[in-house]
Amino acid sequence: MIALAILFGLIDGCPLPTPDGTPKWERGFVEPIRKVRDFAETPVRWMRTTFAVTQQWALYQAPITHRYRMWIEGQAKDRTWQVLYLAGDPDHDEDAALLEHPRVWGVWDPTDTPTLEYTAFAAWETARVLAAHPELTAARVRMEAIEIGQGEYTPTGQFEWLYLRRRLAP
Amino acid sequence: MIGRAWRAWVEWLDREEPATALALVRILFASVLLIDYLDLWRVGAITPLFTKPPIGFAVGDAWLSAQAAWALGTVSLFLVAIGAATRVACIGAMLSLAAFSHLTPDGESGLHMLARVVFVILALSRCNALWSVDAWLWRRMGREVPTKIPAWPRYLLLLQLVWVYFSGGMNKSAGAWGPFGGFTALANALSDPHAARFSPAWVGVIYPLTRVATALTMAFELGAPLFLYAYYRGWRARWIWIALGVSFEIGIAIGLRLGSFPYGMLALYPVLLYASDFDRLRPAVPRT
Repeated sequence: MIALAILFGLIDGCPLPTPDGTPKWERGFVEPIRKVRDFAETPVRWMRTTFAVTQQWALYQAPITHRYRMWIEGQAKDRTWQVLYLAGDPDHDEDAALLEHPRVWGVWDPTDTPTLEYTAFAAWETARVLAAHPELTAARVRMEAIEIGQGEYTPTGQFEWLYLRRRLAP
Repeated sequence: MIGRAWRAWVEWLDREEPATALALVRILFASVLLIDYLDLWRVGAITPLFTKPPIGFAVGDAWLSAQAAWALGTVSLFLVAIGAATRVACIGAMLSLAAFSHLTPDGESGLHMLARVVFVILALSRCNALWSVDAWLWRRMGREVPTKIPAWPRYLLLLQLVWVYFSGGMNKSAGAWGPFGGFTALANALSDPHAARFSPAWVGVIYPLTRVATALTMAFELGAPLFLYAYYRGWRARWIWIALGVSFEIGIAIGLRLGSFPYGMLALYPVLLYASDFDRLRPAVPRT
């Protein structure tokens, strides 16, 4: 049993690139290996899905220079936007204890695409902002693209994945 | 040839050793995750994180609700830490962690996935033979408490920990981790406003050091098989790898907001030591 557990672990951990991330020249041998691996894993696949375990570990895989910075803002009655939370800015840290909790951080911190939960998170967060601030007429969450350099980051002024919620008229 | 290999395998599985390493891992690892669970409650994240919209932002389904999974996990982790009903509690902790993973897949770190493996191995071990309520009860009931326990669960945890680092090293796809990217990965991470604990201004001051640290991180992760060889041969060089690992985890604990991850990884490090290492450290280890 122990030998089988180690064997299946090694098979599962076989370091193959994702189908989308496989370079053209590698596909000729990577895809057959993937098929063999998937077939060999058939008896234990239920464990992988039921207990959400895998032996392919990705620890801080890609700290790249093109990153994002989350803005959470509310709109006042005079239509000006005020910053409530800005990642990494101690002057705008409303609700930071919750937002920056490592498990919560994981659901909104994007890679090069938003997380699975991003839209649901942004919907929840904007509703929370409007509930906490009756004076605001709208709330939004968005990600500003930044470029990381040698110990600094430069905002690009380009925003992505905007989620906007307006307060419904009473 | 096959017969000899089989005998060596059986002999390896039959080895016994004091329960010190596994008991330490049980206590430390469960305590780190218990603090992680209590912290979820402290910041009020349980309901939003693990409940579907509009109440929260979970996207998946599980066999337990958010509150039930948290309660099961908290009680189980406490029981594992004190070593009471340890085997059942290990399975309870694993099921709670799995439920959280199904509800909010991006709301967990590698540590939580690793914990699901670790708790199954601990459930199969005699990690409760030392510093545990179970051992105390057995003694009160007149049952024999083993002074030596099977070593194979520790070997499995050791292999698991080494594999986590090695696999992590192999899957580091960004050029910034290597020479062609200038070994800038750690500097990038420490400057990322989402992940960095401090303002990035100080990173510029120690920028060359961060590049050295990135190179050492890759050497540490990809050098994991060398640690296994040094461990097998009994070389003192294995301490270099362990020291690099401790430095790496402490470094990311200081510089990055990764929550319980570095502490949980460090809590597993006792499995990297020989039983004889604990004998040498004995004055520093509390006795039962």
